[in-house]
Amino acid sequence: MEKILEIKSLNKSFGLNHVLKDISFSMQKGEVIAIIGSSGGGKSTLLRCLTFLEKAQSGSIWIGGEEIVPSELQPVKPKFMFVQKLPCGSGKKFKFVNKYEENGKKKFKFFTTVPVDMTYKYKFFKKYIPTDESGNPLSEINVSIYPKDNVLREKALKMGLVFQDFNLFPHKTVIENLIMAPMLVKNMDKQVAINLAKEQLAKVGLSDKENAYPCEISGGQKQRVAIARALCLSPEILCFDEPTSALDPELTGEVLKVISGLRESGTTMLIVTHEIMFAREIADKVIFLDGGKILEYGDAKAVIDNPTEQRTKEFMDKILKA
Amino acid sequence: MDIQQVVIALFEGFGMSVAIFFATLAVALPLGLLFAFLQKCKFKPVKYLMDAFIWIIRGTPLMLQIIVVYYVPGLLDWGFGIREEFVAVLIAFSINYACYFSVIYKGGMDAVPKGQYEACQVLGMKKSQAFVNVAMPQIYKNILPPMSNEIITLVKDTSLARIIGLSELIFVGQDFLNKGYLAPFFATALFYLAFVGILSIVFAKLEKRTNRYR
Repeated sequence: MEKILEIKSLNKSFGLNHVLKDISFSMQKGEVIAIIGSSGGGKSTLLRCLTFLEKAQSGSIWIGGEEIVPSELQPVKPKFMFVQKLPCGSGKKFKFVNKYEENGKKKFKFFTTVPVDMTYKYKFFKKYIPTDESGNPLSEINVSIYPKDNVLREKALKMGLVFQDFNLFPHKTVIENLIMAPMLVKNMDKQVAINLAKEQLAKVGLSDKENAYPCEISGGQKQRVAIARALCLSPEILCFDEPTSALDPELTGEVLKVISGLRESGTTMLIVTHEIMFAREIADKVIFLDGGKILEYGDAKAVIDNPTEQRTKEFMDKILKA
Repeated sequence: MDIQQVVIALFEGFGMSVAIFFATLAVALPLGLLFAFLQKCKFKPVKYLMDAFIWIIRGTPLMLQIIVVYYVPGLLDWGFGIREEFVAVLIAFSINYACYFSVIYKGGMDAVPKGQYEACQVLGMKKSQAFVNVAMPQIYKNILPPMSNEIITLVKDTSLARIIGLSELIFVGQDFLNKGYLAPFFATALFYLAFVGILSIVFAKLEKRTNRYR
């Protein structure tokens, strides 16, 4: 089997909020992995890091055998850290200047956020020293090296993402929503793009809605259009960020049916979901994420029926009772 | 007093008002967009400068600004003065209205949900492509109602140009008033009403066209 996605010790923090702690896992081609866990456990952040909407601080990402985000140990001599308050909800952003020598030349490097495999010791006014968890100053830190934006944009096309709240373009009809990205990004001919879009719409069972505006169709239909839109760019891995959380149980069914259909056709999928029973049915493997760590990772039925960790048991009990 | 003469004089004044109106729009609409981008600039000093500038322009009367633009360069003896009344009025009006427009543009930009840009990024679009194809049509819809308000105010604000002797509609009307004729002065209202009426219809049409989505 071909390894299509591999993540090694991924770390992400928003300011002092350490959201992802050393996440590592890999995925085979054609596999379906469900990520479950309580809210605030880092599920969405993990997915956003994999689709490059967020940048991780340390750890590497391989997609299709290609190291897209390498990780590198760098000497650290932090001089200053700036604390910058961000708009509501985003917390604080840490900037720090790292001074180091390369081939006898002094160099400065700015990191927008500090790698997170460490805690911070408040020294005096606005100066922080990165330390490890026991409080010793660090001499080396692991840093993710992201490629330039235009390179990253190309690589990011290997990942498709379906959002919780659809994010369809409200001013475009369904078919225009679908053909926009192929035409702009892949320079596809309009007629070719329309044929492709019609094919994908048929796949999600919405051929009759191609000229409707997003405000004229139901939530379940919107989500199916969003899935078709992601499929139009033929991503290698299709990610779902709680695709049914904004829908009522009846509409949830039609979206889940589409996802099951995609599984039949062999699409590699990574699904963040609260629908445990659906995950048990559809996924090959399940990742249970809690407090930013992978608590359990294994065969879907085994993890959900017989969890080994105490925390996972509690979670399953609460979910299945509700 | 010949009625034909009066009508011709009023139409000439109205022509000047309309000229000020369209010239101001032509400069202020793009200039406002530039101001809006400067206001959203991530480099803080630029943003603060822009904020201060907008505070000054919105915080002082437009009439004062016209006088400053027209007289101050000459008084300070900078070696140049703005002799042409129309140019002075155009400069003052454009800067003033660009500031108001920029705040409207900014509001329209902020009202586009972040998820729209994220969707574009995931679909591999460049930031510029996302702005032109996805954000702009939504911004256009968002700003249309406040913009129509501001533009209608501009129609009547053109009357301030008389302060430096530009012979627009009210100036002509006042001329007749000074000669003792009341009716032509009040008749100027009809011109404003007609012009604003046409603008209202145009904006209602434009808004209706954007109503088909969301």
